[in-house]
Amino acid sequence: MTEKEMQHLLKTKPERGQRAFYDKYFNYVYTIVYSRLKGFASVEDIDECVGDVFAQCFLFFDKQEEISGNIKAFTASVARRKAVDTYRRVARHTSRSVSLEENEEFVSDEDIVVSTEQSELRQLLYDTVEQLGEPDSTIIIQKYFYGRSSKEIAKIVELSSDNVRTRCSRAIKRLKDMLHEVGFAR
Amino acid sequence: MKDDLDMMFSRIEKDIERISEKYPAAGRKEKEKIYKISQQKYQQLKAMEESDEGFTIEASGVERYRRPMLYRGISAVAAALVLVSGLAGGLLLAKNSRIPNVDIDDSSNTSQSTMVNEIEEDKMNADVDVLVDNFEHIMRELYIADDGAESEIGVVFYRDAVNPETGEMYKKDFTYYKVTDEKLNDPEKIAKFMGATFASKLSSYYFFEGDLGAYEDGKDFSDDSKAGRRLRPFIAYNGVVLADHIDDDMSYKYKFHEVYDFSNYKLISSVFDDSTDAFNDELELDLAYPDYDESDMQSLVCSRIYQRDDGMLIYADFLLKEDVFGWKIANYNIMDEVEKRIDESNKDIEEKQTMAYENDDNTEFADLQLHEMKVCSNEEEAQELQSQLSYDMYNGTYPFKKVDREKYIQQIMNAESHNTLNCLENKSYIYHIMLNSFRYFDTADVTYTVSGDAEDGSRWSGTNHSIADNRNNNFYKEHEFIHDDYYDHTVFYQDNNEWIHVNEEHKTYFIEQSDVIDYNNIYLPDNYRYIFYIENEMLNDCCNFADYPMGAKEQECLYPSAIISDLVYFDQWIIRDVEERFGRECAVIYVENDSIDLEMVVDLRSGIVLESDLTNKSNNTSSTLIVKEIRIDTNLEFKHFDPTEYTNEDE
Repeated sequence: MTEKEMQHLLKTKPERGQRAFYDKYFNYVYTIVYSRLKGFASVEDIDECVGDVFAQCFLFFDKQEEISGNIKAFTASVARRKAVDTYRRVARHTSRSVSLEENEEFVSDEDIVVSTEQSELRQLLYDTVEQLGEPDSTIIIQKYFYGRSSKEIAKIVELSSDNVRTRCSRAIKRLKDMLHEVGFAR
Repeated sequence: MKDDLDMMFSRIEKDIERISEKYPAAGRKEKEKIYKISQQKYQQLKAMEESDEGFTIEASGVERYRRPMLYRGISAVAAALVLVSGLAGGLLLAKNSRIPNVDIDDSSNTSQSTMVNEIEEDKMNADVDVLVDNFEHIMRELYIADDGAESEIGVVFYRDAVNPETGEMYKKDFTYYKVTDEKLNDPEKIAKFMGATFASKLSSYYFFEGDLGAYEDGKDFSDDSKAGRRLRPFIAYNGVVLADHIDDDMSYKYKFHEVYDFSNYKLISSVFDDSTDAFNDELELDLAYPDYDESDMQSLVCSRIYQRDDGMLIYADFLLKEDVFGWKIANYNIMDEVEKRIDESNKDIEEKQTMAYENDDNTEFADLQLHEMKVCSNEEEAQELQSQLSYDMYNGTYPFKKVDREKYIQQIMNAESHNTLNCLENKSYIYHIMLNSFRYFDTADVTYTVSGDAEDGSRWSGTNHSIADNRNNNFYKEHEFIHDDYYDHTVFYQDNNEWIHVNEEHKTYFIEQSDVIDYNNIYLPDNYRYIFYIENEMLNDCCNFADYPMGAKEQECLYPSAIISDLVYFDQWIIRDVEERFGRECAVIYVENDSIDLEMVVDLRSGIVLESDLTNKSNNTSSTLIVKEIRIDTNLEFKHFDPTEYTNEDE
């Protein structure tokens, strides 16, 4: 479904449009929220926050006579905003004193000085992870990018925890070998 | 290396985009769970925005309460109350857990409980006899339309109401008929009768003590929102007692003679038990005036089994409470043995011998599974069940086997009355064939049109040509769509795991890879497709295992499971008629709930939808689908995509 088709569906058949929008942007929204709240908020808080993002988007679409523009950018903006709201709410309830500025997760992208070399290395890393093939690449991403446990990953890749652990250790070894082969040394 | 890797996976925007495009962010179940959260929050936001738009009678809660069929005994009455009082929430129904140790085969008509000794038992039974007789009088008056009796209309009330979905005002009418029963037809008499029969909450539930004439404004309660809340199944109006008859068109409701005609039944057993667990959740009403605290009153449950002339058993549980004047009915739960059987089977989810889809290949057909809603007592239990079913589904625990279509098609086509047409077996068959349509045909070639009204009143229309080869995982759909100046002409090809999307207007295409799912072996019985749980006396969806062949594409015609999730609520749809289309036996289904009105003509042999007419109440849009040509299970020549003259969007 194209972006335009989805925008049209959101107005003509909202329920199905919402579902299509959700399916299309779930990964994106979840990843934005998760990356900002990981280790700080509970899984339930993250789920709630993602739910807030989509609810806000659905309501916004309801009010528009015509949906146009960059939906992806809009959605990312709502996701970032809601993540901040959740961060503040959780911080209030847990009496944590970490300020947004102190938390590196909330430092704006513009403030992050990322060297060209680092950026290229990361792209190389992701390329190599992809070469592992499924489900190993997903396992590695879930483990290192999302920081999930084997049990949690097992639910995503629909394997047993033991199987995930075994595959993960083998995948790490393969990944190391592959990275060394392409000259990735840290 | 692990630490190095931890440091290397950053979370800057560019990485987030790349990761989210290529990898799942969460498991399938978590994704569905969050979708549900987002819908709930969305409804909350909408309700908040609409709450300032005046008196709203329909929406008193954010979560929509959906009545499980298992609560049917009291739900019919509950529905009447909702109709007359406009309460959409706040009505908490008794849990349907059953009183244990009722032995149907036990011919003795009494048994001893810790509370009721042998000496007291006779007196208690005599008291209950009187209460049941009173109860029968009350129900007979409410169900009087069952007998086809012409009742005299006493008054029709109107009240301004707001549709919470559209925000539009409309006149809601409430028709009340004159009560003829001599025990009930006088305001004083009915007040005493209700007080002698029911504990105070239930009495208030059925009858408002006061004259509605004092609250009306030209038979219009728009100026007094509280007045509308005084509308009960029985009211007094200008000195006349009136009743709101149970709507005869309620497909889920029992007839009076089916479960309430106690004086014409044989009493089989009567058991007292001081354990009131079966009625943990007391009837709770949003009353116009303060109710009474009955929590300290002494209580016990009388469980009775009656037998009708036709042999059918009726199970009646009465929660009794004792005030200074004696025992009263505080709540009740009544069902026939069919529903009782469903209820019992619902208690043990492991009873796989009741499943339609047996592993026994010696049987020619699977038994049709009679519909029941899988309702867990809490979310945790529901999630455990979901997890178990997910495992079962992917491990081939329930291989699919067809039911005997001919038997049910003949039964439906030859039904002699609305009631026989709408029996549980017939509805369960239609539910089954629609949920599993693609399992019942190998190939189909269908041309159909779609059209509808958009929210702004403009029209849209489209034509579709679909060719499906379910056994070889091939699918083709050409789709043309026009709405104002928007035009779309796309073709979708699936050849096993390769999905090709072609934009005919711009002569472009892109290819997706997707898993091919073995729908014949990855399967769950119908009653496990949707799981619910009770939380705060509300029925919540936990998950659904609906099949969506070819992904979530718009295949309303060939794969209707995507549009029949509403059918899980059997009390919200009926089989309206039968007819033939293209020489095929069809049923006409009508679905009505808070969200939609939907009429569908369904091919009984394949579950394919040959026509549908859908109105979405939330935004007042409608759409129609009409099949123009159809060929099922004929030799098809599958269409393959030729990329010559097309541009690959990914290159």
